[in-house]
Amino acid sequence: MSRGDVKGRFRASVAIVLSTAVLSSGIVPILYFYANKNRYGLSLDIGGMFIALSVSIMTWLAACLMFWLLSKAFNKGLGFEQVTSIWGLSYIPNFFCVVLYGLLLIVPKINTASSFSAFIICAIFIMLLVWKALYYFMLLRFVLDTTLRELLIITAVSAVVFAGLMIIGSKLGIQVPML
Amino acid sequence: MEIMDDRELEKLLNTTEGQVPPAGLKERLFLKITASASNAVPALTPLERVIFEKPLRTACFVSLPAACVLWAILGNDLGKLLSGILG
Repeated sequence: MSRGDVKGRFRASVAIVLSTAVLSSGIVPILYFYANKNRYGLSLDIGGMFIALSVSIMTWLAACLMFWLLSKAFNKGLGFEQVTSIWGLSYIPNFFCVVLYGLLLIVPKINTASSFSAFIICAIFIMLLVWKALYYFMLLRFVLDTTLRELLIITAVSAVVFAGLMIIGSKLGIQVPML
Repeated sequence: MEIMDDRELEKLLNTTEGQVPPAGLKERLFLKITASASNAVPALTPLERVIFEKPLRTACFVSLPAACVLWAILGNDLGKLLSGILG
């Protein structure tokens, strides 16, 4: 993870973020609908899916904007495109989290089959969370090149912003936080 | 040709030896300068190398003991906890 090679990475980042957003707000709800429509009498909320897709992309841009403003505040000389291209790569754990969440939503028996299966699923969720956190610290350490003091300030600010974005996202139908 | 006596030679050697930088300093400076000039990844400490070179491996190493602890504490309730969190 470094500042160079922005163009190739930007396309990859956009592809990862878009595929995660489409999977989370479009494909998973559609699959859930077709898996359960006979049991619960569900209906597809196309408008809600579109809103969730838009909010997913907006939260990515909001997180990038926050990092870019913080880099400006600490004179790190980082462009917005650099931030978006690098932070977008951290959506790989999000993508797998959405896949696992969707799987549990459509086939809930996997989780409740035995305590060992719950252990495996729990381990995978923790792994994805730690993977994402490592991406976050790599962004701060290798791209923003922060000192310990700056790292603590940025973490405090981003914790508040991320909590806000998660609450907004959950109110608008995003089950897996898209940060 | 004037021949230098032993004392003068020792003095000269001492003064030049004093200017020799500590081992590895040149390499560290070189790495730092080239990294900042080319926007490359900065030189990593051994701990950072272990953690950040393969983040997925690190995440696996952290998640397994964490999940084991949760499983040991919650047992069969782990599945219920997960269901509760997932909604």
